Amino acid sequence: MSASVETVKSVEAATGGEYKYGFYTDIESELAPKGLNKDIVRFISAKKEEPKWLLDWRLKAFQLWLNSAAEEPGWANVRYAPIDYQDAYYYAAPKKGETPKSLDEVDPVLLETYEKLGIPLKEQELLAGVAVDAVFDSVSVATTFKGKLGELGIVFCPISEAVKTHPELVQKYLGSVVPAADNFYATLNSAVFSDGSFVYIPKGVRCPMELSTYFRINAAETGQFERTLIIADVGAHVSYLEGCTAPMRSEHQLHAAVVELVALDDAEIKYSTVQNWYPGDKEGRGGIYNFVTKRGACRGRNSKISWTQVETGSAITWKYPSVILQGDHSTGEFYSVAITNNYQQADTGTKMIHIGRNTSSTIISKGISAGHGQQTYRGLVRVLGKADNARNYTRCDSLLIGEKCGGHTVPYIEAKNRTAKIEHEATTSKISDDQLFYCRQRGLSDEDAVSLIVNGFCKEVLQKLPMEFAVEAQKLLGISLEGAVG
Amino acid sequence: MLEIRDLHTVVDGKPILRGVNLKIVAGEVHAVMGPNGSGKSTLAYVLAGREGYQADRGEVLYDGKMLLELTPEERARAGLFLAFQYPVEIPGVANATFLRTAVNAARSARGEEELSAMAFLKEARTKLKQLRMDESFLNRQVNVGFSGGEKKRNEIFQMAMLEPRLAVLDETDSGLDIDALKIVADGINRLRGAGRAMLVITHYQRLLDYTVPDRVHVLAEGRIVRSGGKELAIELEKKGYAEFSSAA
Amino acid sequence: MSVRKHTSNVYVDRFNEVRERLPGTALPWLTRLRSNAIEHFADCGFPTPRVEEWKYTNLSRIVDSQPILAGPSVNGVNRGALEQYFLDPMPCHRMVFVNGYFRPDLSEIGVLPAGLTISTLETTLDNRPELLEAHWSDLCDLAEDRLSGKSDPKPLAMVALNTAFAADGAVIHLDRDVSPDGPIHLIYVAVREGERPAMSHPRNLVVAESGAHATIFETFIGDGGGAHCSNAVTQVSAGPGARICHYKHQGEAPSGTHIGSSHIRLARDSTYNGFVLSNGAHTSRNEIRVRLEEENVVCSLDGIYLARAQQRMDNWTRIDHMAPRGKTLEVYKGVIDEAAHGSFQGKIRVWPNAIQSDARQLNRNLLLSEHAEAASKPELEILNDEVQCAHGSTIGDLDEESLFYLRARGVGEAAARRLLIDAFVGEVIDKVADVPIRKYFRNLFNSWLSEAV
Repeated sequence: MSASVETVKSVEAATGGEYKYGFYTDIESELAPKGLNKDIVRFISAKKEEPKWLLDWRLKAFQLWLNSAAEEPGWANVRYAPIDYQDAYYYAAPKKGETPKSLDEVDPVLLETYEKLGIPLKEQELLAGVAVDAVFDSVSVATTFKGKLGELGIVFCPISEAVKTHPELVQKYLGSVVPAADNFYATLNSAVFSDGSFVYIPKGVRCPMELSTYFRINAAETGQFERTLIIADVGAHVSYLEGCTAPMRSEHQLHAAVVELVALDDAEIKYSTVQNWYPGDKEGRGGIYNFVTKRGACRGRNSKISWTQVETGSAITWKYPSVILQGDHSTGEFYSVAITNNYQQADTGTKMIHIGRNTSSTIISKGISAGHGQQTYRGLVRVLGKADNARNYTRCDSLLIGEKCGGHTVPYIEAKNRTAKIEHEATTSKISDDQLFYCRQRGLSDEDAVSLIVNGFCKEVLQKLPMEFAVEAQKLLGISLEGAVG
Repeated sequence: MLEIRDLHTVVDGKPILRGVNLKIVAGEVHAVMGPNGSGKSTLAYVLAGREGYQADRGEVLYDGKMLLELTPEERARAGLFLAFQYPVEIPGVANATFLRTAVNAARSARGEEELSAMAFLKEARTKLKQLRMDESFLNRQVNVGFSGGEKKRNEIFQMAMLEPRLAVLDETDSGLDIDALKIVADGINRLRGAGRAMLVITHYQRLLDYTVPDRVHVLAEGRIVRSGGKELAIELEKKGYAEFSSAA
Repeated sequence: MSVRKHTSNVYVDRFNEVRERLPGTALPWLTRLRSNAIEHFADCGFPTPRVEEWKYTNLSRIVDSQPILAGPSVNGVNRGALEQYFLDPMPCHRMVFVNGYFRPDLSEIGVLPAGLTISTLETTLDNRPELLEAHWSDLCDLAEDRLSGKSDPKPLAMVALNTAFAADGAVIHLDRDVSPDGPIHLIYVAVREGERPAMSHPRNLVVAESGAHATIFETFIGDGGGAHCSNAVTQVSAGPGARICHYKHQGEAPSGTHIGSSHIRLARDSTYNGFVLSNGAHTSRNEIRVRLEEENVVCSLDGIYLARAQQRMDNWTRIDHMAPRGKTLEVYKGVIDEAAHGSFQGKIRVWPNAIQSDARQLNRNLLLSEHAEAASKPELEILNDEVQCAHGSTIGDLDEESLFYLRARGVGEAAARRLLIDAFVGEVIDKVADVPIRKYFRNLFNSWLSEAV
């Protein structure tokens, strides 16, 4: 037992350290009045100079949300006091006269903020090969490499801008994967969504760089409701990364995003997330409620959508990045590492809906729970009647560290086609005393031993991350890459 | 270098070691032999500091230090190496990562500079070649999917890399075919020399054909009941341990 | 909502009609328990697939037919019709219930060893009500405690309905260290009563005091005419070091509905071996709740479901590891043919103090035809780190390579398929320790398989 105590300590040291992104940028914000009603929805729409169809779409969603007030999901294994949806701001933006036309016009205070977060927005300083869209509270403040991407016909811009520049694409695809009525939080998002990224990769284009969006909640008592839409046209390829942070505050803040991905014939979208929203303090005060709907549609033949997520932040995570496998021969993947420490709670997993023929999906989930953390893998694999030769392989492993945490596995597996082959495996265990002793006998400290073992435990998933993120993710897991040779 | 005085250990409520006395001088190789259940592996675990294997009485001096007061990693960094009878699997962790972390932990503890990735690799390749082991060992996950023999050879490889001052080899010869046995013995012999001591725990004497010990001890019922030169091992091989069991 | 309320109101009215005629009306605790139970049911109504625990059970067919309450049936079943279900050649104690009521003329209780009592609910209410009170009160005010912290009475509405209406059933008590030499076989026969389907509520209790050994075998069958609904509740309690083998065959008539709910409580060092085979009823649900309440309990829970035609078979289990060093091994296998639907929902919860628990769960489903469907939801809820837990689940057709291998050795396709299905199911049947009962299940499975296309 004493080994467990030591282990817990070292995990605290490895993962618990201070939240590095908890600072607050003192910048004047423009806020909509507190609360949520039709006027607020109109206000947001007006702020963004939206066309009527979009305002109508929002208002319709708002009505749906009012009607579904009793449908706030209660099935997830997370506990929190009821949220007062009227006691929050639904729009916050750094005050600035005109929208910046170029990076040079962006408020230097904002540039500095992103610099501090490790995301320099000056193109020449950026990691080569990564274009960034920086979303600060409710608005996108900067997008890099727009021009270079534009030459290839790639659209990478804030969704509010895309509504104006590419209305036909937005109107066609917005809500086509996650309809406004999908679930309580998605409905809310549809009514009040602020900003987010829009990506369109034209036919046959392979996006030459990683696209990334960096989400930052700054203002207090503000919800963030970003909306991201990525469309990969026939034969297109794109890899997209997403990172998130927020200041440390003692109250909870709601983040209810919607991400929609559409892959047409032979297209491929790889979507990676390193989610590091403020997790709350050691006693569970404060932290982000991360209630997110992410879904991709493999509409085309031979298309592929791959989700990779490293979830280390947020007080509560409620998130199931999913793939609808409509196109014949399409592929869906979900690779996840989630850590819950202190009083964090996470209910996360995926849905793989097999509709087309010869579709296949892979799910690898690694959950690590420590302290009082509670974590649930919840997943659905469904094979419909026409989905001949569907294949799914699922593996969920939970690692528990300490006697007060919990790790749970709730897979739903449903098949209506005899040619399906579905396999699900899951294990739950603690770090073995044997492994710890073996490492220590070779001279590793307890802390390093735990880091090493946790790193090994997550390896299958971390390998899936693009290089730029893998480094950050491993650091986040409390693992130094020092010493990695093989 | 190592002096064990009146060591008593109780494991799971049962007395296993009941007063072990043993002294090893730098440069020597000692073999501890004995029947199953005599406490050989327990002795190895007590020396390495495994939880649940604490000494109830007695003390162990290692280079003048009170060994039993150190944590397992402090002992390791001070040059004590245990070759496990059952090496542990660590999924997802490459052998190279593992070993480099271990080598550098020891170097930092000694106040030496850490080995760079390149320097480590070069060193590792050299050692592998000497031990006639495949380079793929480096990229494989620690002991995962290794055969019994591969695991034991991996222990010897780790020992070669860590260059311990005192190596305790717990039944490293068990389950090996003759070729693997030679590799293991060769690995041990390479490390023999002034300033380094070895404690070879074994049930059979066949390893001792290749690694000739300076002293042989018989451990029975928690005590060292007889000590002698290498000829004692040969005698034991012929007669067995019957005369040392309590039934006799 | 209102429709459900309306439906449950009908049952409240019916309860008020019969309450005075139920056995044990003189017992205040029982009267109170029954009123609570009918209220519980009235509040919740029949569970629907919207209730998570009933996701794969749909009772609308039987609910819509508005079943009447089954009464004591005096005719229609003779011994000859039942003999095929008797255990052979083992001498055993046999109780037969028709529509939930004990039929002494069909039963055969031999000379009982000292310390073994085999009785009915009605008799026990007369001469040993305290035994029932102790165990029935376990199942009152029950709600499903979910990990989210929410407590929901709806999943237990059918247990409440049973508590309100139960008028008969088997009560078996084993004193310390009593170990009868044969199994106790309980046969429940459902028969037609008039035009509307009848619903019966058998209520059984098995109590094994410390060190006692018992083998209980429950067989549910129907006479084939008309729809019927069995809503059975069986409670089993094993004292310290007791050992209970509990087998069940759900072989109701093709148009029947079976809702079976077993509640198992296990004290320290006890062993429970549960086994259920379903091949009957149109709609069936086998619900088993096992609580490892004290240290060092060993539990195995196995199930086989053989579904064809339009059958809907749901298996729902929940195993709670509540104390240290418990061991669970659960294996459920389904073979689903034609347009049938088979499902498994199994939850294992390891409580915070239940250190060194070892729990394994496996569910495998074979889909044999184009329209067959399967659903599987194995669940682990682990609340401490000193555990070894794992589960696995598969859905698919027979392995093509194995089929090819057999065919390459000259075995015809149909025979090869049968051979592989036989191996798939046989492995679980072989775990049945009591030879005559294993033979019973073997024969049952063989005849099911021989009818497979």
